[in-house]
Amino acid sequence: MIQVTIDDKTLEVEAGTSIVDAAKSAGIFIPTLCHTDFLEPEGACRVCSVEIEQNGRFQVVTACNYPIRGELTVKTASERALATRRTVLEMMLARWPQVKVVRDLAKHLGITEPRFAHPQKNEDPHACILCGLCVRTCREGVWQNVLGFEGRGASRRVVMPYDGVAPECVGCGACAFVCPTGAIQMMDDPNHPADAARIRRAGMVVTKEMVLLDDDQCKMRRAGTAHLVEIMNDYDLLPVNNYRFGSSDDAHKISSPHFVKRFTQNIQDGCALGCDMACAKGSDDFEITTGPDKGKRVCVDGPEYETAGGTTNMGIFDPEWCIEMNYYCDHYGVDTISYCTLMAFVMECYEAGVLNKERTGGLELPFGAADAAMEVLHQMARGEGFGLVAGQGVRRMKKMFVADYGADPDFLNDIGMESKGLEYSEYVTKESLAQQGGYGIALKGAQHDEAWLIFMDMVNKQIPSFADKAEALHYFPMWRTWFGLMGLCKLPWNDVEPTDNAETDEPAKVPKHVAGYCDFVAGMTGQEVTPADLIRMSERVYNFQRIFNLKMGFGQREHDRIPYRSAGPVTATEYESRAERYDKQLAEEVDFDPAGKSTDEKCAALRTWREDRYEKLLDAVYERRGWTANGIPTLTTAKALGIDKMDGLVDLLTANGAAQ
Amino acid sequence: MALTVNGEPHPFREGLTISALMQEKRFSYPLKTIFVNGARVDRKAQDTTLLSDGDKVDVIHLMSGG
Ligand code: SF4
Ligand code: SF4
Ligand code: FES
Repeated sequence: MIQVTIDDKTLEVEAGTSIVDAAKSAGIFIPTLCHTDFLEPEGACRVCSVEIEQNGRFQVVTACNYPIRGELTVKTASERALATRRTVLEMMLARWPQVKVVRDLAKHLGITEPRFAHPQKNEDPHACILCGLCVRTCREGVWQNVLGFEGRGASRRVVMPYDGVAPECVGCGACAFVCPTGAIQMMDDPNHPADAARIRRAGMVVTKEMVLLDDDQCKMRRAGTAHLVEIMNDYDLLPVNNYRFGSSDDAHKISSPHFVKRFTQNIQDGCALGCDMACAKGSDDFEITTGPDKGKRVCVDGPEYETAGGTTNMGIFDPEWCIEMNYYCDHYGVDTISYCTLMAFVMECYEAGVLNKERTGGLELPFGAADAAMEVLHQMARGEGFGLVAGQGVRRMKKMFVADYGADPDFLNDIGMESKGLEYSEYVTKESLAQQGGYGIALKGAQHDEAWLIFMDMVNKQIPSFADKAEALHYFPMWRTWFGLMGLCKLPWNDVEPTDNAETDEPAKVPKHVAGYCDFVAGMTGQEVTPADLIRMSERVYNFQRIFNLKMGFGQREHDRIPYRSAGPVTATEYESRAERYDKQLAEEVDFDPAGKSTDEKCAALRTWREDRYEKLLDAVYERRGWTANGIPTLTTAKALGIDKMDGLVDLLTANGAAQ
Repeated sequence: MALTVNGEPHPFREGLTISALMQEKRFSYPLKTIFVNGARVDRKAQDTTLLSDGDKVDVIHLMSGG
């Protein structure tokens, strides 16, 4: 820490703190113009001039970009400091006499009329005063970098390249937002929002957080979601060998630094135009080693966490392989998650003897069989060989293997990681009951995007009771559904968080960001909304979807079943890998003394207990949602939500025992 | 000699800082808030804050991701 005296106050600051920030923390005001808290200071306007004394030397410096490195005395209102500021402001006032910020700052210094005339006098109240805030915001905040200065001296001005309208401009309006004079006007917005400024204000909160906090938080701009590989491994949540295990000693081989090295497209992405989170990554100039594009150098969009987690789920720890698989999945139109999870199932079947070389057309497919797994992907696309079998997905493969090869249906149901026919995404849910519900109850099938509760439940232990879990499994799916309703990505909601989020009542909900989304809706539609209103919007759609599922044969309790692999250890090896945890649970929570029992006995006791808890969880969630014990929205619920007028809905609910 | 970390016992040793405890627990996720006996510990102080025997540490991980 370094001692600094500013006017009559002495304080300690960290080395590198700017004079402006130090003064602010001491409650001392220094005027600024070209400076803002979220951009690198540039020292362009000299409005913040102060006088410093260091080692007996006096000097006038710009406070916004002067880092405190040694003991220092600052005079914010010394004669020399004020004289510098006055000269600066007088020149500005002479040039831009009608611009409000200039007039205000000048007035503050006692100047109402400049003593001289400026040759470029500009009477426009919205003239550009060349502060550069827009240029830096576009570059550092929005990552678009389409604004720059052109010309020198008096002819200096802000332009887009070649003085035209750059196609790279995403129309985000951040430049107009930061401009202190109103020199930048956004052209007519085709969406005709009710209050564009309100939307921009809400958006700028996230832009600022991305600039200031992302490097310390989720590194979305640098690594994207791939940063999760090593984290999930640390928390025993990274799927390995068809979700048997949650971590591996080999995980470091495929951790995010390997991908970051390959990412060349650290630019704002096209995933959502104007998104400052820019988490979508690309690997350029990647050489393909198999299949129809062998030898070509291509650009690969990704990989995301799920693609890397799916790779480890097959027991493969090779980042290059992962990128190639990512490329071919995209190229063929195959979802990487489904491919990885179904291949992990195939590999476990191969190791268990359900499949063999004859049945796979000669391919050896134990865990880790990278080349053969890639070949299956090509076969799937060509509609040939074993690809024709694997490509049908886990649900159908289970049926086929039972019918054709006499496989044990119970075993396949335990290890076949799908629910409602959709393959699981890449998290190990075994130790988090709430997350098992998150996957099992999700309307579209086994996906975590309705509710990702593992930390709240398993790590923080914040939702211990069934009622707590049910509340979380109501709120979060509704909240996340809301993003779907709006066509918004949900990552900016909680992949960067305000610094004071922990002090709010409900940090998990990120209340400040929720308030920002209310501003967004109000700014768009002109109607004020509360956070509860947003949830209401989702409840209506969500319940309607559930009823739609019911109509299509998927919306009942039996469809919310999950494979036991996602709820507990299926095999003795899995049990042994976490024996300490499981033994403790048996002794403390199940009232079953594990001492002297065989692993199979312990597995069975744990299973009975865990399966029962899953059923109790379903009861609690259905009750919270106003559904019947069979998981069907009641007529009362439908009426309360105003969705009961739909044709045939009353009949459908009545026929399914939900008429109450 | 034990701490309670998120409700579970964790061995205590002299000189244990919060950052070292996070490493022992492999709590590598960045979006977390740490409370010692109910009081929040600033991120910057985690390298230097020493724990005492019997401390109750709550490490609240915030969700992120899609
Ligand atoms: S609208 Fe956005 S992208 Fe376009 S110039 Fe302004 S800040 Fe840059
Ligand atoms: S357009 Fe506005 S923000 Fe950009 S340099 Fe001029 S005054 Fe500053
Ligand atoms: S605010 Fe410091 S130079 Fe402009």
